[in-house]
Amino acid sequence: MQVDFIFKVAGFGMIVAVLYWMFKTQNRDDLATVVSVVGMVTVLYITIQYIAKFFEAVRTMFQL
Amino acid sequence: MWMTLKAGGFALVATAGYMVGQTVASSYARRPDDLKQCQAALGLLSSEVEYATTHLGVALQRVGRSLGGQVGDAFCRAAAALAGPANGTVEAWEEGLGWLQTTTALSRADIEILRTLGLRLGATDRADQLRHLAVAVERLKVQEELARQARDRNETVWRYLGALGGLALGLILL
Repeated sequence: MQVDFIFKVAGFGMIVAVLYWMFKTQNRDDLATVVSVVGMVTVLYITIQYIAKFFEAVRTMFQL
Repeated sequence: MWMTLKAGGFALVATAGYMVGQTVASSYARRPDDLKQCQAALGLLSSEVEYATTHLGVALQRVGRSLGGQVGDAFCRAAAALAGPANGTVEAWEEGLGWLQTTTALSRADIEILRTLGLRLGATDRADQLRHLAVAVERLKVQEELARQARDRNETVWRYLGALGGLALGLILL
């Protein structure tokens, strides 16, 4: 697995965390929720191919 | 070479996001000041109409010169358009409003208040014009209060959102 991908997800997580904190301090709870959901969906979208590869590897290993 | 190109692209996307955020935030920050200037301009125009009883073109010119800034320039433009050939008051006022729309952070609702006032300027008697000027100033005061609330709610949000959104987009595209 590429290491830079992990750093990318970590950096994205940090940015979402800072945005969430900023919206919370501004009393914009609605936007804080939107940012956290969008962040989660985006990270899921860019990790889904790796998750698919992982399941494929598991299926091959156990000959399912 | 490839890494340099990627880093350059990342920097460009991040900078673009930052600048979008700054632009939107600065429009929120400038609007209350622009509305304040408009109120000051209409106050000066009221004085001109009430005490000096000057011709509208001269009054607009004086107000524009004494006020300065973008709002002052708009009044000077309206005065210049009024002095031009075959131009009515409404067309001259629209010329000034066009300038305000492109150079200030005033919203469409703010411009609409001034547009309504323009229909009365120079077309009715002094008392009626003064009444409409007072109404316009009051409506602009309300808009200013709303603009201040919008600024407090949105300015910081857009500054952060632009910068961090640009960084996030750059990271995804990297």
